Amino acid sequence: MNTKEFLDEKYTVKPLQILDDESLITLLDDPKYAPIMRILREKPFTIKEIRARYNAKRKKPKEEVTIRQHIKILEDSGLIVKAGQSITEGKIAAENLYGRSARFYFPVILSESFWESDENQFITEKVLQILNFVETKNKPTIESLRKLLHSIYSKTELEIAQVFEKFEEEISESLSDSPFNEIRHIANFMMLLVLLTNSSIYKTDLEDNFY
Amino acid sequence: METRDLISFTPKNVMVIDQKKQFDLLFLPKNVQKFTPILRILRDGPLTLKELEYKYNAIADEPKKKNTIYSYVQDLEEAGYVTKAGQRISPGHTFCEWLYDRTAKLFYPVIVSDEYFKSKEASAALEKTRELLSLYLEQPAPDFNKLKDVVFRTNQQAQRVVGDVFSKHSDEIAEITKDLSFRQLDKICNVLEMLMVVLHFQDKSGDLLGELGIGVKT
Repeated sequence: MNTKEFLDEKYTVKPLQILDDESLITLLDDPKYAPIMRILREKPFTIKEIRARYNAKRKKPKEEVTIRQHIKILEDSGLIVKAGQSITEGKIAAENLYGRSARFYFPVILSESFWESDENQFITEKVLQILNFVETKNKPTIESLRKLLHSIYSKTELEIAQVFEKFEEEISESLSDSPFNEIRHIANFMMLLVLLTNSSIYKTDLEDNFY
Repeated sequence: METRDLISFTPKNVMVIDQKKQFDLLFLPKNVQKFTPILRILRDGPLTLKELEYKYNAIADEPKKKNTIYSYVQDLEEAGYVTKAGQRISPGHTFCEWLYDRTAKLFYPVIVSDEYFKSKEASAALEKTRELLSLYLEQPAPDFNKLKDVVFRTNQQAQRVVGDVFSKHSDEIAEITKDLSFRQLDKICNVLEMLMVVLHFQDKSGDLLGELGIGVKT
């Protein structure tokens, strides 16, 4: 049977998407959804094709309705999108093709939006209380600690995001095979190294606080 | 039929993981898939083995038999992550089922050996980090082993300081963190670690970068 795939003209895969929403990071970590994202690395597929590949290695195959639900959740979150249609000769009903929104996803730990939330205040207070047990010359105030944390996280992550923008193609090429778990490690390592190479990012705030 | 639970254990808030055997059991990539589902399920409170089996298979990628799950629980119990927290009795029965629980809300790992960095996952991540770092600095990538060494040492140092505070002041820390969710505890540990990195290494960062053969960005 002759089947032909038509990709939407407006479907494009971003080389990279920065994830600062924790619920999205959780989705990518979830063993239910991770295989789907892995399968779609190759190219966009229909639900039936995704299901066949999903079940290939499983002892207990999942029903199509379950896979459909998983895809719905991933689609609602924006991690996958409808990419086009697959049409089979002589069949009126076409099937949707689903594709990833980006070739790879990079998590940031405490995003810009975090610093505007109430939770930030709460977390910073707790950190301040625990810092009382660490020996330092001076103790920061809650305001100055928040400023310091903001510069450590937001500025460092901004630096990393800029590298990604600048070298989008190269980085996407290099990381496109990495499982999300590995990318999380890379994100942590990069954060650490960027901090080490950029003491100017936080130096003033640090001195105002602790010395 | 109504069952009755006798709970005789309350989990600690934070437990510092600084023994190699303990650390390897939970944090080496080959073990993560096996044991983390159990600890995740137990976040909601103590469970019997039967309940554990049911919930494990609902979330795990590969279904496991009750005996396998029991052996995981035993491994976790032996390593001090899980404990018998109480008993459950059904009316009319004369024997109880054990209820299992986590020993702590948060397991804070302090890397004590570089075993973790020898794993395939960590090596791959480090290799990619080298490439990214080279792009970022617009300099040749540092030597793999030197990079591994620096990342390992800075992480270890920061975790050790945080781990020390958690062990030495466990009562106060328990009080401070008592109402926090798992996610919040995780975030706080992350923030503390990063703070310790900048506090401890800010005047040494030049030396560390010297080891890697890279210059400080100005």
